[in-house]
Amino acid sequence: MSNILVVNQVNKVYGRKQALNNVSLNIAPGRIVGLLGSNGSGKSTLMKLVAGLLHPASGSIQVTGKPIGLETKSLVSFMPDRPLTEKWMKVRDAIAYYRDFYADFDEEKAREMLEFMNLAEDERVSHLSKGMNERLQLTLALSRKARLYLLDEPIGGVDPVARGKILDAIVKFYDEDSSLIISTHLVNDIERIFDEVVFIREGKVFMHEEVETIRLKHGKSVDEMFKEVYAE
Amino acid sequence: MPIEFDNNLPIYLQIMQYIKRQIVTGTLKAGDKIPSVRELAAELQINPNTVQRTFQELEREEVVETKRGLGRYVTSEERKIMMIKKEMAGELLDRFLTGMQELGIEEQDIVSIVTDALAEGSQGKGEQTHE
Amino acid sequence: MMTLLKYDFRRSWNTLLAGLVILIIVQLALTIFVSSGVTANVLGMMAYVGAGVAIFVKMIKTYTANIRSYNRRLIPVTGLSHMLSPIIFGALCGLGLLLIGFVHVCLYATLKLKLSLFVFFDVPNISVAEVMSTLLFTGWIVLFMTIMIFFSISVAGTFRWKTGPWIGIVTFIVLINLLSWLENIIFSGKFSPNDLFQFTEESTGISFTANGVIWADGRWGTTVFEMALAALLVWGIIYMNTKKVEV
Repeated sequence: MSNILVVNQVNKVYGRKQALNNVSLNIAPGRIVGLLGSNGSGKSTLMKLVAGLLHPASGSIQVTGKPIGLETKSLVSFMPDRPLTEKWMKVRDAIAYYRDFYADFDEEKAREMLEFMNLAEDERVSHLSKGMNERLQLTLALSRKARLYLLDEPIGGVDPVARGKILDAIVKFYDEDSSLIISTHLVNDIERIFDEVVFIREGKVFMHEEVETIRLKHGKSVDEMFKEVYAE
Repeated sequence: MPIEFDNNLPIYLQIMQYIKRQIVTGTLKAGDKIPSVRELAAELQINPNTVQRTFQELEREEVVETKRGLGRYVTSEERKIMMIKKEMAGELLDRFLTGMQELGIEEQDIVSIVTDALAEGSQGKGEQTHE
Repeated sequence: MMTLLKYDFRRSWNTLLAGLVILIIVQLALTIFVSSGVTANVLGMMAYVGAGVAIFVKMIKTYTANIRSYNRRLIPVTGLSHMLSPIIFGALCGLGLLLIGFVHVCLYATLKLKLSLFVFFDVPNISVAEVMSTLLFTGWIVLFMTIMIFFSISVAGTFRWKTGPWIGIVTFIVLINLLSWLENIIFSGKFSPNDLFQFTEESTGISFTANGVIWADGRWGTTVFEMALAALLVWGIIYMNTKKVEV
């Protein structure tokens, strides 16, 4: 099967800052990929480009061979660093919103996941704590049968119990036809679920390697590698 | 409940050890069914591809066999299981010997140390059972 | 797009209800507490106009919020739908307001003036065709203005700096002036909204004269020109929203 994501020589500039510099990347189906980098390295920018929220200054991006646009929005499920719910909504309204706009939304699965995450349907979204909100956003993103999932810092700022539940949900959810890209700077907790990792530094891809290869060849954990790469 | 894995070493190797240990200690008996890739991945909270690779290696080593349409099973050959036990014991022994040699202990002394330790151990156990 | 509309309404539902309640209270208060009939009518009219303006502003705010919100931009919906939804939202609210006004006027006529309802449908100097064409024309002007505002907002959206809103305002002013200037050059005579409507006050109340749209003397030319321009602006809006606006 051909690649789910192809990023080809993408450049992105914000004012005077080069957020992404000639970035190229291929992701095969059925992979769980870690997108690692310090804050401001370009991880979020890359995800937003793939999700269609930003547009590259040059270069191209394709999801399952299609350029980013209306069609790819149905194929990509993005969980950004801010909530995708509106202030007036209750949890059940958020579910309804996804069901109404995304044909691939699995309501059954969403309800299961809500229960698993201990979220009540008639709870007001504005009353949820940060951790509960993250669980909701993750539920919404993972309840779609998408081809590519982009999770921007899903475990940052979340208590360890919620973290465990989130990792559990990600692993249970895995599908050979689709891929997940998870960006994080908390490598230690999550490296055991990655197939491969992409290190981004100052807008460039520094390394793209299979995780077990890093362990075999370098005898280091991804966390240690990360600390080495990003040491000041 | 996820086990602690050492992130510095390939995880698939660690899972292989984990499963072999379960077989050797009898937790997984000869001919027992092994959990599916998904089940094990969820249980250990690790990447399913890693589990897949583990199973492939175990099959290559004939520790595990796939029965079409039914799933994966521990080998039914007792002989094979004995071999794994010997292998694992051998690895432990190698590490022990290397460690002892690094401490500068002579070969004859190693044997007497081991014999004494075993005697004390069974005495200790004996005391416990007499209580 | 209907789904988009549904969520636009759900989001603004509380505000709309609150506005409705306030309007009704204001009208009741005017009827009960203001003794002079003429003053009450003028203030009442102003309240309706105020409500209309509030609806217009709400529509603009809805559009602005929608082109920037992540959850709206991520859904697989065409750019055209995103643009039409706030417009239809505004139109429906506006129609709702007209309906309320109509009911109010009927109630007022039958209860206070003790006129029979049929008086309304028998007015000799207004023809139905003229009323319809006036309404359509007004609707067109509002729509065109909305499109120009949306265009300016989208232009502002393509710039990331803090000066964004100012760029939007400048764009709008430029567009309005460009429009008048072009229409002056292409068609003789300047068209002003005052030609359409006239309010006069008399002791028995307010009379409303509509000159209607006089199609014969070339005024329709400006409308066709505006329609072509509007189509161009709409294309521009959709292009900017899908390719240029950054979140």
